[in-house]
Amino acid sequence: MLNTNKYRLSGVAIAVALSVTACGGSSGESNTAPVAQNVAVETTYSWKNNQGNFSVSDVDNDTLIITAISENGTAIQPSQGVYTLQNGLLSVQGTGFSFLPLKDGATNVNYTVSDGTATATASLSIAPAASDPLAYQQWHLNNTGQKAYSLNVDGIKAFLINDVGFTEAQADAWIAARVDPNILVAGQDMNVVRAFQQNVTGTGSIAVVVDSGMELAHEDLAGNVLPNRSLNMVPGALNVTDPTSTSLYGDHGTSVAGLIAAEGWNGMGGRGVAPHAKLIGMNYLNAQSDLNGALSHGIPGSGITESEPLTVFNRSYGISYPAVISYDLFEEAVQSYSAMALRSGLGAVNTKSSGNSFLSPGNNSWAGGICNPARALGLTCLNGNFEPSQNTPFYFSIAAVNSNGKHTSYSTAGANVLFSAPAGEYGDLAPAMVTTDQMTCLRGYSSFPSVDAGGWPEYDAAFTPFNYPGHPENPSCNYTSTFNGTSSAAPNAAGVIALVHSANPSLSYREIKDILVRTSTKVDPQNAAVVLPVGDGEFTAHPGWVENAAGYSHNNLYGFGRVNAGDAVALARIYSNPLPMQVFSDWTGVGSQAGEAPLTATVADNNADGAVQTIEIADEITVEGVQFAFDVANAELRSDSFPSQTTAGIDLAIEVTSPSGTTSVLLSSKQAIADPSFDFATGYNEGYILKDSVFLSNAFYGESAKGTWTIRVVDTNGSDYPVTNSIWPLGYVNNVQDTVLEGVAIRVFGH
Amino acid sequence: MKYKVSILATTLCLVMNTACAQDLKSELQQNTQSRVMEKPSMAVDANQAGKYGMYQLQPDLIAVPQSLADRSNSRKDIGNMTLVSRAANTDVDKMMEFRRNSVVRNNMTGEMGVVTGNISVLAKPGTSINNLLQQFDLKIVRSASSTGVYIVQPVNDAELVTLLEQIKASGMVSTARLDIMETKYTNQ
Repeated sequence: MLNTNKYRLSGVAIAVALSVTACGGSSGESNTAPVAQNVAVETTYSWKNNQGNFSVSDVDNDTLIITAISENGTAIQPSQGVYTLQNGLLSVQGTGFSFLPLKDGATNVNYTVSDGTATATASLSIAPAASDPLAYQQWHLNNTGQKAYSLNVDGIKAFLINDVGFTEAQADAWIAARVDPNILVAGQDMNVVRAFQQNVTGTGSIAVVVDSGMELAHEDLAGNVLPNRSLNMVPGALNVTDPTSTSLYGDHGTSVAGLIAAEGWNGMGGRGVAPHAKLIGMNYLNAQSDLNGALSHGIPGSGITESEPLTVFNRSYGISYPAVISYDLFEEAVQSYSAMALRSGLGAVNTKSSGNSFLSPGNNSWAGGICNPARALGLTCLNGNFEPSQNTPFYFSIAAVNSNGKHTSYSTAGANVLFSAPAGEYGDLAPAMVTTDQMTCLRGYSSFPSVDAGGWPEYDAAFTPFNYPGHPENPSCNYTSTFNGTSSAAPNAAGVIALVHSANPSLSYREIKDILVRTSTKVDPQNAAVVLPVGDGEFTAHPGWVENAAGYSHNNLYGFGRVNAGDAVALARIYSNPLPMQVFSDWTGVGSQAGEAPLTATVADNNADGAVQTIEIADEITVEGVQFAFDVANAELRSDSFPSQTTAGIDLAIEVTSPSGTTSVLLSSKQAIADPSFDFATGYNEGYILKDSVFLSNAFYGESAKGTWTIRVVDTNGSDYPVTNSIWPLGYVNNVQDTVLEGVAIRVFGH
Repeated sequence: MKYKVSILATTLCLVMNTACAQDLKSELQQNTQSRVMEKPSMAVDANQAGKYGMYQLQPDLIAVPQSLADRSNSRKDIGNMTLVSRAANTDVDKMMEFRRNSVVRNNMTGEMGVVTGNISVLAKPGTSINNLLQQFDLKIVRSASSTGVYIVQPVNDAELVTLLEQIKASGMVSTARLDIMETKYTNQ
């Protein structure tokens, strides 16, 4: 914990100035002026409230009021008792004050006290706050419109002229065409300062970084690393409790860890969202197996006990593939252990990156321009629900937003997205994250090897100067300014969860979710719908924000919005109405999903009517989430189709409507489905777009599940999609056969 | 104009796997010839033996501990194992079985993997895992019994796909699969 603030009166008390004799009314009593003494505050912490008292007295025991604050000789006008100073906010109540340092630097003001008749003036000197030198660039914590070392426009312009051969006009035009003039918007952050103001900094929370590694000895992480608790999961590792990566080009997990819990107020680097949370690292990505996957969820043998305050596992990884992977019961069971057994049954949260495939089908370049139809309409290319770990009841899928609060260029969308968090763009022409990097300039994103590997040092020096060895604010290359992706959004949300848990350790993982649903910020409120003409009708492929019957707004790009640490912590502190026990309905379905003969519901090509199926849910459940399982067939979709593939998968759209009338789009069409559904253990489901494929929707949170659910399956297109630059397939040819809905089922979880 | 096209840079972009900013650099390098990879599953003979789900046995390779590997003969490291070619006189047709340390290729990712020898089991609710262990001569490696999750291993070396099918047919499990160490997930 932080030390309590220390104050001292100046060595020589200065009894001030004005001693007046008041006109004391009929009694003729005289008034003695109040006395004010200089006050010096020696120890403060940035972004935290620092309480103190003005040193004032009055021999007459008159009521004293602070009537004026001036800085550099200029009177500051208060707003609701708050004076905005050069380096922070000074709140005055009676003769007490609270100072919130927002910038690093000393503060010197004069204050004036009045007894109603006479006044006295003295100084208030506040020493520079204990801080972290890079925190002022961490826009995700406190967005002041800073660039976070991106937008080095002068340097880029010089590079374009000197190294690329542009004229000055060409350079200006090139930059202007690629820089969003509205990308820097003050206030678009996670409201972390407000959480710190409530003295909540993550104390008592533990976060597990399940990733490529974690540099235990990093100067800005070491103080928060729980000793001997991390795991090097590579069998035969020399030091099994040290997952430090030996990569030359950056360790993803080290940067993730810094976003969650880089030490705060230690004079080094930046600051984590939860600077006093503790860290455990597991390099699962270097030794992926079911065994290690289960250990990374805290099962016995992992070193994690069921009783410790294990708050959150962060998982900034996933599968990006242009096909829908079938549901994974084993994965669901493993996830349920961390969610239901850990923390003495209150459960740990798993934050999961939603993916970076809004524009591309992952690394599967063979699929060519399969994303072009989605790109043209502003729809996501892959869908977060394609990946089975993201459609269980237990993971929190996190999308990424920019420094203007809007969707990033890459963040995968889906009805499964629960929340969003800042991550930014690439740190070149728009801000990314400032976070920890492998130490020294010999390893890391910020290092000589990375510059050498990039093959164009001048480019790196111009576009990402903070990462280029020798930057004055990054002399040892221990930090980076280019970390991004939903890889960054997930740990930022994990940090907020650590704060919420710290504020109220008795909350279950479901209650933490409930708090975040209630408090997250509705970013990009004007986010527009995307409506496709389909035959003679239309299909709303992206409805934008949808307010459900319980009053919660959900958007497939943003979930319930950007996590808001300040509001979430405030609610956590007073959260006194525990959620009832969680219940899961049985799967309720029809056709092949009910173990019966398959339906033969035809999904006519390019016809907005589609196939409509209703399912009755009899249980009185307040929804926390709804899963939908599908079998949808089209014999033309085969893994060995050559030289072209059918558009049947790309054309498929699904919307569901709840008994309360809320609609959620599970599949928008135009999304990249270039292969049949598959399961790693059983192979391709040839001829099936979806087979035992589950889609999670969070859009119905808080509604009643009871009643009729309506599922509409549509084929939205009747023409070919030419593609270029692919090996296979050479093109996407409109399906000749109609797609068939063979089965669908619903499972509701809630209370 | 000073630059060199770097394949390593492109590779880095794939392995670092934050969202990647190669577009600007490629544009300025006028490097429009982006490398297109082949769809991994197209390289698979549908009638080839040695299949398990999305995995294809690689009978000419075997995984051995790194400390024992002939580095001049190594193909790839996975965890602490190194994939090495079998001896030239090996009858690979006799190696078409899924056993511990067998090497497989994931036809979706194109990545190699190693059969760990473990079987991942989700027991049916109300089923005693001991019955399963006894019936198939298995031992528990790790478990989260409250959720029915068990990682088990045959006590004696066994052909694992055959054993797996027997376990699934027993009626005692909700699902079961071979545990394969591989690079299935990447940072995102």
